[in-house]
Amino acid sequence: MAIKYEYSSDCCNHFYIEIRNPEDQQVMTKCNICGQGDYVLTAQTEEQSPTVSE
Amino acid sequence: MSLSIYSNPSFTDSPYGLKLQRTITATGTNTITDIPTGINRVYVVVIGGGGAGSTQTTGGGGGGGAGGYSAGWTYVTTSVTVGAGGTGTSTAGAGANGGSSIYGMVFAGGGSGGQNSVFGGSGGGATTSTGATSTISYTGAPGASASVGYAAANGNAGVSSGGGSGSATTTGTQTANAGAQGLITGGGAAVGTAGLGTGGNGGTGDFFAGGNGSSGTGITFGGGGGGAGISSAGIDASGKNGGNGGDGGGGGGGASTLGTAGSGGRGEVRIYF
Repeated sequence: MAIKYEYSSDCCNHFYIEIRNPEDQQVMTKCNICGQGDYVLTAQTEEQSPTVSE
Repeated sequence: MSLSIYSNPSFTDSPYGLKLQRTITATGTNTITDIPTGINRVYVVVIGGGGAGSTQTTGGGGGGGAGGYSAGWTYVTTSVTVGAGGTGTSTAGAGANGGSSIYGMVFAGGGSGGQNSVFGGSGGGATTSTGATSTISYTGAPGASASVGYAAANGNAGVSSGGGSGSATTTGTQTANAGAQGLITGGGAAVGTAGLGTGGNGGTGDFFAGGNGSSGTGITFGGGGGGAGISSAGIDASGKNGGNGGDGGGGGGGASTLGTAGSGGRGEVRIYF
């Protein structure tokens, strides 16, 4: 089950989303605007499971 | 305050003023419906899954190729496909190819699996590479069987580099080839020798390191390290088993003599607007 993680940076309040599996690492941890602040999790919701095709 | 793009990979290769707003790493086809109304064009970086390393009945297998890298403007759509990395196994033969990643009209193929004790896998292009030959890249650069390229052929450097070619020699001191250097890199090759064997390291990436090859005497050593992805480093080999490729397209390391080859790293899609 993929999860939609919503973040806000604690420096610039940049709103940023990752859709990933819960066991996977967070890709971006530092703010994309200034590169200084951390992304703080503000919400997470279950997404529809990705459809895997061969 | 000073900033370096190298301290934050999200600054790379995106037009000035755009911000990274979405990153999708869940493999398969995802549905996204939250791009704000009024945004009709977005800039995306799309990375295919890395190829798995190979394992062989005798000798060492080649490393898997890196996933493809494509970037550009596209229309907004609700469908995002992220390619899985090829799964490494202990069955002798070529490794599995990585899967393609797609958003809108930007496509990135998977890296090809390591082939055998002669050839590693090639880096992915706009489509999945085939064996030791790379495919056309998103820039239009043609595929190649042996050259440095945007999507590089086995053993060669490029934005998406090739996996190292393996070693077929089963006696004496042997050292396998490393994965080639690149933005996203291929896995290292393996050796399978009765003597001292050292597996190749995963290719050195622009942002992350490749995994280290394994070294020791006998065929229970000599696995190749995983290649670097765009989001994490390759994993070290363990004994005769290859290391997994890093997240974001790293190729898997080759395995020594029926060890388990490293799996390729998953793909990734980044959306900027």
